[in-house]
Amino acid sequence: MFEISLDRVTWLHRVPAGVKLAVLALAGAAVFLVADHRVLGGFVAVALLLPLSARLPVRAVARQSLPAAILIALLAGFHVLTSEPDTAIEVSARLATVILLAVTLTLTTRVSAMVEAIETAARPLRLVGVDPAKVGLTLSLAIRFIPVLFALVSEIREAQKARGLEGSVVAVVMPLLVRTLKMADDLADAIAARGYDAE
Amino acid sequence: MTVKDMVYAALFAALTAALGLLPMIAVPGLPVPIHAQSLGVMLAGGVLGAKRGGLAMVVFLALVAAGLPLLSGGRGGIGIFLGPTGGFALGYIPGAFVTGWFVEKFWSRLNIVAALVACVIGGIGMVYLLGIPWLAAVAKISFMKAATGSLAFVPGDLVKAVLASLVAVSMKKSYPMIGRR
Repeated sequence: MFEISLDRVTWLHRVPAGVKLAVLALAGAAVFLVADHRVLGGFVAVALLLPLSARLPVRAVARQSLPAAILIALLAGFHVLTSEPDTAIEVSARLATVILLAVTLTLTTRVSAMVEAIETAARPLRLVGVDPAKVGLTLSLAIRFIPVLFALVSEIREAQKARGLEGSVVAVVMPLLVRTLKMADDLADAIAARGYDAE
Repeated sequence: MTVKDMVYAALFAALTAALGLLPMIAVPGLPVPIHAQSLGVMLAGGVLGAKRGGLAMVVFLALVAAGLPLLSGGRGGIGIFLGPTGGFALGYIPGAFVTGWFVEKFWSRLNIVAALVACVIGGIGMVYLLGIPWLAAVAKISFMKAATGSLAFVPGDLVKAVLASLVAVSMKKSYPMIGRR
């Protein structure tokens, strides 16, 4: 299925998702604890070197970080205008580090590996009565049905266009909801019929 | 969690992703075009109720974090939650839950006004309640500045709340979900 991660395997692809997530969490916390500009500069340098070391295509990195980059530039500009250039540097260095590391993680980690990591992370939830296997099944179901729902949306839009209703959101959303709910009912019955025990 | 909870949450997460395919709605006089995707927040709560609606948003955001390009413009990945606007994304969860909670409260006499109250408090109020302090903290700007900056999106969100309320009320007539097992 379509996903953001790159097909090409780099050394970062081989690092387990859990390790990458832990590094991201640690770096994200660390970068908010320091204010020294040299240390922050070091963080940005590492965050830039990582995708370079894995030879990730610059275009892919830029595409995923562009919206955040625009916002960071606006915020930095705002802080400069309110004569707080130190804050401008701090905020943009922190955000740039976190966003670059996160984009690198996303580009080098398959969705299946992330879903497994989420399932593992959900294990402690057993204590409050959440079954991690159910978490995994629910996520897989959603992934499986995304292309189905995408196809459904274009089908309904075509049909409403033929009726001259292409401008109406409600005319698309109503049939979409009804058909999604019918699909959900059938799916739940099918799962129950196979003896899946949810309790 | 029953099988039904899981299936409804999964399919509404997929539906929210599919809403991202709809073209932007340009409303005359509004500064920012409206994106249909965040309609998913109010629809999940308004149609499924609090628990399943909130779960649907948990699933949707988990898939975004896992690296599916489901957000408008083909964006996704864990970075969405770490940037300045991460709070607005996380606000989808209480947003759908609270919308659903109010719709459940008003269910027996649900009309467009009641549904609108639910959508505004949940789908707008809760999302901004998480989004604005988050933006202020991460960007190191004052709470007021962050709130003012977010104001541009309020008119569009109000239009969405009206659309979602219309849909929630019609869905109660044609395919009621709340109060059904």
